[in-house]
Amino acid sequence: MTTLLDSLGSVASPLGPGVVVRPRTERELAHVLMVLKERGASLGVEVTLDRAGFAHLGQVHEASMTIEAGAGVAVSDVEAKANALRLSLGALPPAAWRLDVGALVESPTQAFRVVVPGRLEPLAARVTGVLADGRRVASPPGPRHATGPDLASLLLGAGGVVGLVTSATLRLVPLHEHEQRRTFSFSNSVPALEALREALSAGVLLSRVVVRSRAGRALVEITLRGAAAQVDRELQLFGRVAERGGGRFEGQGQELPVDGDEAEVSWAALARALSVGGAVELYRVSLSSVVARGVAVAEFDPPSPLTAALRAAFDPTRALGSRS
Amino acid sequence: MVDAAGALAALVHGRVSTRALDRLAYSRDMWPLATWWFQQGRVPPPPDAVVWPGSDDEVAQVIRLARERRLAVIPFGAGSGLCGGTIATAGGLALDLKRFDTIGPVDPQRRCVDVGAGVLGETLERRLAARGWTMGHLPSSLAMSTVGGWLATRSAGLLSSRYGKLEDLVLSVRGVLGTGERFETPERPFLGPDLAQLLMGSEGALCTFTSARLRVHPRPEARAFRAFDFQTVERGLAAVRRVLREGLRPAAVHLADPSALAFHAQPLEARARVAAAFLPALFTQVGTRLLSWPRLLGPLARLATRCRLVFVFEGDPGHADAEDRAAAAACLSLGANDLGEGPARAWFQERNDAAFRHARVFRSGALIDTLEVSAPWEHVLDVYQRVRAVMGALAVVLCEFGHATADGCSLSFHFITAGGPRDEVEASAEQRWRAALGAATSAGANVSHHHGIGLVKRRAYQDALGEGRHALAALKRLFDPDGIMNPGKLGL
Ligand SMILES: Cc1cc2nc3c(=O)[nH]c(=O)nc-3n(C[C@H](O)[C@H](O)[C@H](O)COP(=O)(O)OP(=O)(O)OC[C@H]3O[C@@H](n4cnc5c(N)ncnc54)[C@H](O)[C@@H]3O)c2cc1C
Repeated sequence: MTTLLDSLGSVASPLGPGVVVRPRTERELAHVLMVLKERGASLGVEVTLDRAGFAHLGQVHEASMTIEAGAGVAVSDVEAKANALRLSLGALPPAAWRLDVGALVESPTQAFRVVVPGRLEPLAARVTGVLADGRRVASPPGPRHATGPDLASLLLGAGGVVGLVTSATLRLVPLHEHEQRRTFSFSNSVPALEALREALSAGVLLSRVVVRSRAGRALVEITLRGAAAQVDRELQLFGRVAERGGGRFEGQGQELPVDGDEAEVSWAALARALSVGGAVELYRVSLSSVVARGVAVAEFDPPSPLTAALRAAFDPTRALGSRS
Repeated sequence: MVDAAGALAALVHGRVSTRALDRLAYSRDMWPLATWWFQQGRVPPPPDAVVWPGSDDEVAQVIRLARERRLAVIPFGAGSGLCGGTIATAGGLALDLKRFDTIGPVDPQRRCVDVGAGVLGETLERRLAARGWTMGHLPSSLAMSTVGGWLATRSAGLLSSRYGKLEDLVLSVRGVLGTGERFETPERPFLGPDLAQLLMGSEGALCTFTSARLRVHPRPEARAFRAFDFQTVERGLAAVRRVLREGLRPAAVHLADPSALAFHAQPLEARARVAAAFLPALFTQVGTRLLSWPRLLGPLARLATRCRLVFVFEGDPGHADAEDRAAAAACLSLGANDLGEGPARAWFQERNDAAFRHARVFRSGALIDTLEVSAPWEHVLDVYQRVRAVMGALAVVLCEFGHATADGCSLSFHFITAGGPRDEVEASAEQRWRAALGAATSAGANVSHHHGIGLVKRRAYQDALGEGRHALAALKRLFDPDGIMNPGKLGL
C-alpha cells in the first residue's frame, strides 16, 4: 500500500514522525489537499504545510500603490521592497511583522487596515488561493466590485478554515516617517473611548493608541503617522473632538508600551477591561473592533451554524485541519 | 399555481396577488432594454404571483412552500435595478419585501441602526437626518431603491470615496436562505469567513435579506465643494490620484470626460441654460438621426478634450476646508483651471437628475445603456481608451469616473444609440454589451462596480469567474439546493 508520503509526491518529505509538504504552485497545493481528502489526513496533524515555495515577490504598482506577493513571502520583505519606492504597508500591529503574507491575509486579526472614517478594508486588494476542495479561487480586479458574492471572503481573514491563500496584492500607503504623539486626559474611560470613536468618524486615522485608566481618570495617548500636513490637520481635528468630549491636552506623550498578546476585541470588551483600571495598547483602531494588548480575551462566540455548514461543504474530511 | 396561491395566502394573511396588473408591475426592473420593450408594448415574462410577507417567519414559510412546489422565488426591493435582476424568467413568486419597513433606534455608542430590508433609501436618510445621523450612502436611486436591493447588489453611493460602498457599511445581515432556514451573520470579532460579505451581492440567488445592521455617522457639519477643468482626461485622473495619495479624503470624486461634460452640462451655466431649453426638441428631431452614425459623431466628440473634476469634502468645518484647500493646491500644480464651488455645488444638487435626462433620450426613441466597471489605477486609462475605441463605432460614448479610492476607481460608460426595428435593437444591444465588456475586462477591469450582474452580464461574469465558478456553484448548492432562488441571475 502506498504511504501518505508517496501519495503526496515530490512536494513531500519526512519530518520526524510526520510529513512536511512544500508546494510551489497552486496545482501542487490542490494535489496535496486532494490526497489529504482521500486519505482522511489533515494539515497540522499528519502533515505540516510550508508555503515558502510561494516565494514570488512581484511588481510594485506605483499608480495604485499595491504590491503582489506570494503567500510564503515574509511581510518584512514586502515592506522592504515597498520602502525602496517610498511606499509602505502602513501601521500594522506589531505581531503582523513576524508573519508571512499567507498568514497575514488569512488572519482574522491582521488581514485588515483602517481607512477613513474608521472603517475596515482588507489589506489585500486581490487574493488568490485554493479551496479545500482543490478548486482555485481569485478575487476580481478593481478596488471594489458588484460581481456576486465576495468569494475572496472564503480566504480573507477566514483563518484558513475553507481554503488557503497562495498570493495577494497588498495595499500600500506612501512612506512617511512623520509621526506625532499627543496625550489627553478625560474624567474616566467612558468619555475617553467615546472621543476615540468620534475622532474615527470625523476622519482621524490613529496608528496607535494607549489608554490608561487610573483613580477615576483616563489618559489617552494617540500616535498619528503620515504626511506632515495630513498629520497636522488630523491632530487639530482630534484636539477639537477631544475638547468637545471633555478632554484636556496634557502634552506630547512618551510611548510607554503595554505588555500582552494582541487580540481583536470589540469596543464593549475594551470598555469592560478599562472599567476596572489598567492600560491597553490599541492598533488597527476601527469603529468595528480594535486590535488590543492588555485586554483579557473573552471567548469568541461559537462559530455560526453557517460557518460550520460552509466547512462541511468545502472540507468534509477536515483536510485543512482544525484551524482557528 | 392556483392551489399554491391559496396555500400562500394562508401563510401571509392573504397578502398575495395573481392579478394581471400586479404581475405586470413586477415583471421588470429598470433594465434599459426592458424599458424599451415596455415602450414597444412588450412585456417581459411576469411572475405568477406577488407575495408580501411581513416577518422572517413568513418569508421562511413562503420559501419552504416554494421548495415543495418547485416555484421560483424572486426577491423584490423597489425594482430600480438596471440589470434585469427581477425579471421572472421562470415565472414563480415575486417576493416583495416592502413590509420590512422598520427603522430601529440609532445606537449612538456603537454607531449603528437596525433597518428592515424594504426601507427606501430616502426614507432612511430622512429619518436618520432628523436624529442627527447619516449613513453616507447616497446612490442616485436613493428615492427608489431599498436596503435589501442595496445588499443584494453591493450598491455604491455618491459619497463612497469616504463612507465606502454598501458592503463597507454593513455590520451584519439577517434573512432566509433558499433552504428556508433563517440566518443572522455575526459581528466582529468572529472566527471563519465573513458570512455577510459572502451573501451580499448574491442578487436574490442565494437568500432573501430581511434586515441589516448598518453603520451610521454623525451628520457632517459642513461640506466644501470645488470644481476644476483639465485639458485632458489623463490630467484629471492624475489629479485624483495625487489628492488621494496626499492623504486627503474627499467624500465625492467625479470626473466627467468631454462627452459626458457636454451631455450633462450644468443648467446653471448660461451656455447650457440655452441648450437645456432647446436640446430636447433638437435631440428628437436631429439627434436620433445623428445617432445612427456614431462613426461620424465619435471623431467630432474627440475634438473636445476638456474634462471636469468635482471634489466634495465634508465633516468638521475646519477640516473640510483645510482638505479642500490642499486639494486645490494639488490640482493647480497639475495645470487645472479652478472653477470654484459653483459648478460643484450644482453637480451635487442635480446629481440625481441624470436619470431624468436619460429618460428624455428614451422618449425621443433612442436607447441609453450604462456599463459601470472598476479597475486599479494602472489600468484605468487603458480601460477608458479601449472601451471608447471599440464602442465608438456602435454608439455615442460618455464616461464618468468616480468612487475613487487610493487603489482605483469606477468608470461609468453611457452608450447612446438610435432606436430602430425591434430585432435590430435587441441584437445590437447584445452586441454592444459583449463588445464593451470584452474591451473593459481585457484592459484590466472587472464586470461591475455597483450595478451587479443580473441577466445582462451573466455570461461575462461567469467567464470572468474562471475556476471560481465552482465555488459559486458550491455556495448555490449549499444555500439553495433546489435552485429556486431567482433562477438565471448571476448565470446560476
Ligand atoms: C436612475 C437610477 C440611478 C441609479 N443609481 C445607482 C447608484 O448611484 N448606485 C447604485 O449602486 N445603483 C444605482 N442604481 C441601480 C439600483 O438602484 C441599485 O441596483 C439598487 O441597489 C437596487 O435596489 P432595489 O431595491 O430597487 O432592488 P431591485 O431592483 O428590486 O432588485 C435588485 C436585485 O436585488 C434582489 N433583491 C432585492 N431585494 C432583495 C432582498 N431583500 N433580498 C435578496 N435579494 C433582493 C433582486 O432579486 C434583484 O436581483 C440606479 C438605478 C436607477 C434606475
